[in-house]
Amino acid sequence: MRHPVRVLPVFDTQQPVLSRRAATVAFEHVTKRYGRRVDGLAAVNDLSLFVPAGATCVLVGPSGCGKTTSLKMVNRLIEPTGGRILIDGQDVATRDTTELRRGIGYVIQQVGLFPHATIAENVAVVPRLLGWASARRRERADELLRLVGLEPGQYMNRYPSELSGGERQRVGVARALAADPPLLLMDEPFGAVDPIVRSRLQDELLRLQRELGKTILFVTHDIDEAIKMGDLVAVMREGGTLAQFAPPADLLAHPASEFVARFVGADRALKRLTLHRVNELPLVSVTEATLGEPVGDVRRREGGRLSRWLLVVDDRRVPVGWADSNGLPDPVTVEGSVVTGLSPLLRRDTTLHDALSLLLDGAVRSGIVVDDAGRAQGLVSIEEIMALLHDEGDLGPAAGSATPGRSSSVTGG
Amino acid sequence: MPNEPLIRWNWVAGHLDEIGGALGQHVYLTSIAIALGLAISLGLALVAHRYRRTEAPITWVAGVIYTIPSLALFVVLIPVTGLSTTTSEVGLVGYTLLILIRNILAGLDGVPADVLEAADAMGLTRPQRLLRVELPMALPVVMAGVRIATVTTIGLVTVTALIGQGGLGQLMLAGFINLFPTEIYVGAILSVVLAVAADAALLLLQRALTPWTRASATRP
Repeated sequence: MRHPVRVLPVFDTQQPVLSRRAATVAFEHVTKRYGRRVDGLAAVNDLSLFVPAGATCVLVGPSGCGKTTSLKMVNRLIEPTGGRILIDGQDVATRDTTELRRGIGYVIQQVGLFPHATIAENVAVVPRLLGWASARRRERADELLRLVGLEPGQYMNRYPSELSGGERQRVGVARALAADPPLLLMDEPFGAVDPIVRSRLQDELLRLQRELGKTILFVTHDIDEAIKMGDLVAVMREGGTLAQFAPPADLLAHPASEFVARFVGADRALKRLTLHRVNELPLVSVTEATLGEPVGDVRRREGGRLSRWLLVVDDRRVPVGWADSNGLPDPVTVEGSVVTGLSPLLRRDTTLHDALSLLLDGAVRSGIVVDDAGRAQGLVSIEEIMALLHDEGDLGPAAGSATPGRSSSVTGG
Repeated sequence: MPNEPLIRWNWVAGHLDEIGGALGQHVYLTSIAIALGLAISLGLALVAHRYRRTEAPITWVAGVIYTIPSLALFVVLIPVTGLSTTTSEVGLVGYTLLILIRNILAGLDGVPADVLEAADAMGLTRPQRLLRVELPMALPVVMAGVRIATVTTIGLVTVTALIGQGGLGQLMLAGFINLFPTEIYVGAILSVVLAVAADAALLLLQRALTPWTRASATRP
């Protein structure tokens, strides 16, 4: 982002701003037909699915698959031709539209902020409709801006045109949450921002969602986003039919049809790796040697026997490089050619997809796992990543995990 | 008029009451015309905006009124409403309609679809959406129309001197009749000054009413 945004902690108040109230959403044989369509296809055809309270359900599919139409039928921006949609068991068709909509958060790609209203006023649109006093509205705007990582003092009195695309979308999310709705509808919310900002906004929404536990219906055409954001993914196809409705891991491991398999892509095994993180893998311990430490001390610590490769760390245990224990200078130093390049450093929350990519990039078989302070924790190897995929199910015996000695074949650099 | 100066300042000094009265009447006639014109235009533009089929006939009628030569219109109206303020205001209001209706409609049409969608989705009722979103957002374009209509009307008011109204136009007319350049120039200069001042005042008003239009300039 060109404009530095000071990102605040997700919750810096003791009292949660919003409740964990969440609603269930059920589509029951929902159909939408437009009379004018010549091909006779429905926009949405007999869609049935159930989203449990607190789940994020992503509707994904190619353009024209009816995902946005489905979303807009929930808050009655579009009325279905047949079937019904229930929120917490109540048919939305029986509810007053304005009252219904004020209880559902709505986020769209173009954000749709009111350009003539300040950020504080934009966030407080629904509270104002609900008749909140102005002081309470302002307080809520303050809390929500904090929640989405915008410093209230800096943003409250500005206008949308003064904000970057990413900042505007944060305001859009704050606005949707303003009246603490149990359900959020998000239509390609991060489609208009650049990939770096998008990824950050996705991460922050995931974090927010962990805190808030709202029910979210999320529309995207991007399968990677669907897999990243969804607890449940509904893959839709042309003609508005549901091709598969499953958790992301199931979708990738067991696509229900040729269409789904093609839609999720030939790299679905790689995509499955985005669902797992480094901390799910067993760590292999590694012998460390601190800079300036006499080799004798290292040898004593290891009970007399040194493995071939030692991980050289500085006095804060931050990895510096690998050293061959044969011909190690005494005391340990990085001088000379004995210390070779460093393996990729992986954090515990790095996805296995990114971890594998880093390993391949470095043409190495293992990476060093570090904690938040950058201190070495141990090693993970490509073989363990393979084993995890294998344990999940569908790679077949040929791709098994039984690489002999995989936990000892640690090579550096 | 040999040796007659363009402006006899001692005449001006001796007739300040008369000049001030003419200026006051000019402002009064203009203000009434703009206020009534804006009210009527707003009503018609909202109808045209809500029921799109009425847009073409409404703008067509306003366009026809606009094309009638002003003097002809006043002459036609005299048998109906006499040599009265009403006669002049009917004409003056009539000429504001096309500009104002067009600009109000352009302003309303300029509200982006995503803003309307967000407004609907948040549960604003139709009147709330109009009052809180559409009209405020249309304001810069509406105000641009008000400025044009005001300047045009200030010019037209002088013509109504021919039917016994006219503010500063009365001065000019008297100057022509009496072959007295001072009155002509005082009337002409003051009406130009009035037009420029009104335009500037409206621009300031517009800026005060629409602070968001300048906000984007503060950021790269």
